[in-house]
Amino acid sequence: MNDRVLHLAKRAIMEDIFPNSVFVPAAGLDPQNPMDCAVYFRKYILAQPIELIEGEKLAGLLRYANAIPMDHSEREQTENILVEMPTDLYSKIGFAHITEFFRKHSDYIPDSPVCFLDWDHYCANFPYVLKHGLKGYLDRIAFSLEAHKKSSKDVAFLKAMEYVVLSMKLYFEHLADEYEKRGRSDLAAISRKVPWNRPESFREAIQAYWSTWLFLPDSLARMDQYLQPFYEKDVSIGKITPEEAEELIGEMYVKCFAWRPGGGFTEHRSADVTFSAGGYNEYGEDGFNEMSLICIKALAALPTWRPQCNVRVNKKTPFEVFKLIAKYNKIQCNIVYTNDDARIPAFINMGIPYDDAVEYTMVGCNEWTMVGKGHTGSQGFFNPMKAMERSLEGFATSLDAISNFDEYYTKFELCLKEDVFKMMDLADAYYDECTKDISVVTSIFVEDCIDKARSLTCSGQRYSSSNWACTGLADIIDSLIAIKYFVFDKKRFCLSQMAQMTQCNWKGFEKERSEICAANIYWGNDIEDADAMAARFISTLERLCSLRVPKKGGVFRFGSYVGYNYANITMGSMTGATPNGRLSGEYLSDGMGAGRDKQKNGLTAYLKSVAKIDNTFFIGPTATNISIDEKMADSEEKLEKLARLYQTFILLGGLQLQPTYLKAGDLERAQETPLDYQDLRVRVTGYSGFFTRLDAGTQDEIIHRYRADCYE
Amino acid sequence: MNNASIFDIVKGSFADGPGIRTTFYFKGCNLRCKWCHNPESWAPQKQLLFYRDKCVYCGMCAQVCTHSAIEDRTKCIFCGKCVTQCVNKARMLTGDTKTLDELLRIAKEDIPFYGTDGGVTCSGGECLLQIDFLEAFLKVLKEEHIHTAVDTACNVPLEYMQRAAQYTNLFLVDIKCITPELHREYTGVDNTQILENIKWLSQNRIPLWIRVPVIHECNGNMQEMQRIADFVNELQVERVELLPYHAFGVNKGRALGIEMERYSTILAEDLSNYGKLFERIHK
Repeated sequence: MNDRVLHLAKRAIMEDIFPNSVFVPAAGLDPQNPMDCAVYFRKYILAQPIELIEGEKLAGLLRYANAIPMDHSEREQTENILVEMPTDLYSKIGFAHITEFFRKHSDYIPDSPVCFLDWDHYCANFPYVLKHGLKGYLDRIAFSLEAHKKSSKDVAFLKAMEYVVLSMKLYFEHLADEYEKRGRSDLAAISRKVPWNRPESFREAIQAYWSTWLFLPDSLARMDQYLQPFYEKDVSIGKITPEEAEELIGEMYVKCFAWRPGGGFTEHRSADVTFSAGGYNEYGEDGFNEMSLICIKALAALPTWRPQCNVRVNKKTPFEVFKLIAKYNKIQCNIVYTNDDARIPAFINMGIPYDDAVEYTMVGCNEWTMVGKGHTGSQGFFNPMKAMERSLEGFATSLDAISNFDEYYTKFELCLKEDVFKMMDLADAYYDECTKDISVVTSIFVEDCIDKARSLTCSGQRYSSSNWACTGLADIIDSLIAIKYFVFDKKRFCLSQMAQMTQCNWKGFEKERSEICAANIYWGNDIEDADAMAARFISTLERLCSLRVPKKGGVFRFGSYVGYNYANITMGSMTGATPNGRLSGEYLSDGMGAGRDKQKNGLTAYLKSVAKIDNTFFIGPTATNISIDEKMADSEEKLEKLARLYQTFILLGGLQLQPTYLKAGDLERAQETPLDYQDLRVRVTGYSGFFTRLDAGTQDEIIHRYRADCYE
Repeated sequence: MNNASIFDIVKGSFADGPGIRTTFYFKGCNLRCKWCHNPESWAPQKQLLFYRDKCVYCGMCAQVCTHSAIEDRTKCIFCGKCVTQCVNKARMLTGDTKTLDELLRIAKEDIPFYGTDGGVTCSGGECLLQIDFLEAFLKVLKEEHIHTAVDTACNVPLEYMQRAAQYTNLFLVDIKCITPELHREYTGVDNTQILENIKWLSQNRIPLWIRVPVIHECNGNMQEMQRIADFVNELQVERVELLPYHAFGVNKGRALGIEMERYSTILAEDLSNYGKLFERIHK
C-alpha cells in the first residue's frame, strides 16, 4: 500500500477526514409523503460541505446526519427518521414510536429474556449501476410509472424516487463544480461522468462504486467480481497497474472507515462495512480472481479495522486460496471464510433461484443478503434456555412421571413452541410498525421496489426473510444431552433432582455439577449421540419455523452468532442455571461452536461436529470462532496445515470459520496494562474489536474461550 | 497384544510429523530423561496425578476412597472415584487401556483432515515397548492407507525397529547426547543401542526425522551439539529439528510425586547457532 493511502488511513483513525454534516431543518415536512421526503433529501445533500482531501483520487464525501451505524433508525426500515427532524413532528407522525418500539424490544432495554430485536442491513445493486449508471433507474421508473398509472399512491412514490435519482445527479454535478473551482479537474470530470453514466474504465468503475455506496452505506458486496472485468481490460491495455488498483481500493476502504463518525461503544469494531471476495461465479466456477487478491491484500495492508471480509470458498476453491487467506487472516483478523456449498443450497431451499442465490454477499457481522435484491440480515436474538427452564418446572411427582427422554423432549418442545411463537409475534409486530415508514432512497437500489412501486419498508424488495440468532446454541444442545445421559440413560439423577439442582444454582450439588461438566458427552467433540442431539434440536426449530410465515414475507430461519450487542451476556444474565452445568447468570454460549469447557477431543473433532449441522435450514447469521495460538501459524509449513484444516472444515460442510491468532498470556496482560495493548485486536463474534475497549464481561469471556479452547 | 496402554490422544496435531495428525501417546518408557515434559509417560500402568495447589482440602476425596489411598498413594487402585468427586480438578487419572479397534476407530475419524501427507503418529513414552500391539496397529493403518509415523527414542532391540519399520512411513527419532556418560547421566541409560538403531534406519533408507531436545545444562553447548551434528550429518535424514527445553514436566512431575529438575531457558541466538551445525536443519 502506498504512503498516501497509509497516511490517509492514519488521518481516518484520528477522525480527520470527513466533514461534519450540516443540519438542514425539516420543518413542515411530512415524512409519510414520498415527495416531501424526496425534496428534503435533495435539500439535505446539496447543503452538505465538500472538503477536498489532499491527493485524493476518489471523489465525494457525504454523510447523513444522525445516520451513525448504531442508530437503528438508519439501518432498519425507518429511513425517514435518519434526518434531523423536530421532535414534535417526529412524535406527531409516529416515527418516534418505531424507535421506541425497537428500543423496547432490543437489548437497549431488554424487556424479555426470550427474544429481542437487532439491526438490519441492505446492500445496493452495484452491478446494475456499473452496467447502466444511475440514469438507468430513470428508465425503470418511467416504465413502472406507466404500469402503475392508475394508482395515485404508486405514482406519488415513483415520482418521488425519480426526484431522488435526479437529486443524485445534481449532487455529483455540484461536486464537480466544487472540484473544478479547487483545481481538481480530474475529479470534476469523473464526477460528471459517473455514477450517472456507466463507467468504462477501472478508475471510473471504482468511482461509481464508491459514489453508490455513499447513498447506501452498508455492504460493499462482491466488488472483486464486479470490478474484475474493468481491471482486466485496463491492465491489458496498460491503463492501470495492480499497485494503482490496490491504491484505489485502499482509498475506498479508508473512506468507508472514515465515513463512520467516532464515538459510541461500537466505534472500534469492524463490522459496519463488510464485503465478500471470491465465491462461485454465474458459471458455477470458483470466482477468486486478481481483484479478489487485490481487495484482500489492500485490507491486510491497512491499519484501519473496517471493512471486514468474508472470503467465499467452496469445493472448487484452489488450496492455494485457502493458504493465502490463512496468511492474510493472521495479519488481519477481519478476513475469514464462508462456505458457498453450504449457503447456496440453503438459499435455494428458501425459494431463491440459483442465479440470485449465487450473488449473495456477507453483510454486517455475519449476516447475508442477495446483492441489491433484498435484505435478510438478522432480525434478532432468541434464547431457547427459557423454554428449558419451564420444561423443568412442576412438582417432583409430575417430573418424575416422565419415563423416557422422548417424553421429556415433547414437553420441552411444547415450551419451545410457545417461545418461538412469541418471537414470531415480535417480528410481525415490528414489521407492522415499519410499514408506517416510507423509503424513497434505499428502495431505489433494491430490486423490485421500483417495479412494484412499493417501499422496502413494505416488503417492496425481491427477497425477505426473518432470520434469528439462537443464542446459547451449545448450552441448549448440551443441556438436552445432560438430561438424556444422566437422567434417562445412566439414571444418575431423576428429573426432579436435575430440576432442583439447576433451580438452586447447583448450591450444595457442586460435585454433581463437576461430574456433569467433566463428562465427555457434549456437542463439539465428534460424538455421534451428541451430534444427533444437535440435529434433533435444529430439526425441531425447523419444524416450528415452518408453522408460520413472517408478515414481511419469506420464511423464518435460525442461525447462531452474537452481533454488536451482547445477546449472550444479556440473555445469560436473565437465565438461571442449566442442566449442562452452567451457573445462573453466566453467559450463554456464543455462535456456532462447542460450549464452555466442553471441548475435550481437540480441534478436528470440534470442527467435524460443527460441520455436521444441516445448514439447509440453519442459515441465519452464524459465526464459528476458534482461537489459535500464534505458534501454530509461525511458519509456512504450519500455515499450510492450517489451510488444510480450514479447507477440510469447508469440504465437510462447515458454514463459516473465523480464527483468531493469539499469544499465550497476551489477553491477561492486556487486562492488567491496557495501555500497552491498545492495538490488540481479537475476533469477538461476528466482528473484531480492540480487546481493551470491549466491556469487562466480553473480555472475560474471550479469555475463558482462549484458556479453555485455544489450540496449540 | 490386543490392548495398549495409552496416556493421551491428540487429534489435529501439527507437531508430530507432516500434515495434520492424530498422535497416540503410549504409556511406558525405559528412559528417565531429567527434563522429560511427560513424566506421566514413564510408568506403563495407570497413575494418579494430584495437583496440590488446586486442592482446597474439602475432604470429599477421602470420603469416597475405600482404600485409604488419599493418605497413602501406594494403596491407590486407580478406581477414579476421588477424581470425579474433586470439584477443583486437583486429581486426575492418567493411563487407559485401549483396544486396537478403538484406536483404529479414533484414527479413522480424522481421515478427512489427513490429506496426502497427514496421518497417525505413535508416540510416547516409548511406543516400541508395546511392539506387539504397535506392529498390529501400524499394519492395519497401512491397510487403511493412513500415513504412519513412529516417534521413538530407539532404546529398544533392533528387532523391534525392524518389525515396526515394515508398516511405518516415517520415523521421528530423538537424539539426546552422543557422549555416553552424558547420556547415562541425563537419561539413565546407555546410548549404544540407540545410535545403532538410528544408523540402521538410515542405512535402510527409511524416512527419518531427527529431533534434538536442547537442554542447556546437558547438550546445550557447542561441543556436544557438534558431536550430535557430526553423527546426524552422516545419516540419510529428511530433516533435523531442535526442540528447546520447556518446563511443562515440572508441575506434572510434582503431581506424580516425582521431583523433576528445572533447567535454563534456551536463548534463541544459541538455538540458531546450534542449528547452523546441521545440514538438514528445519527452520
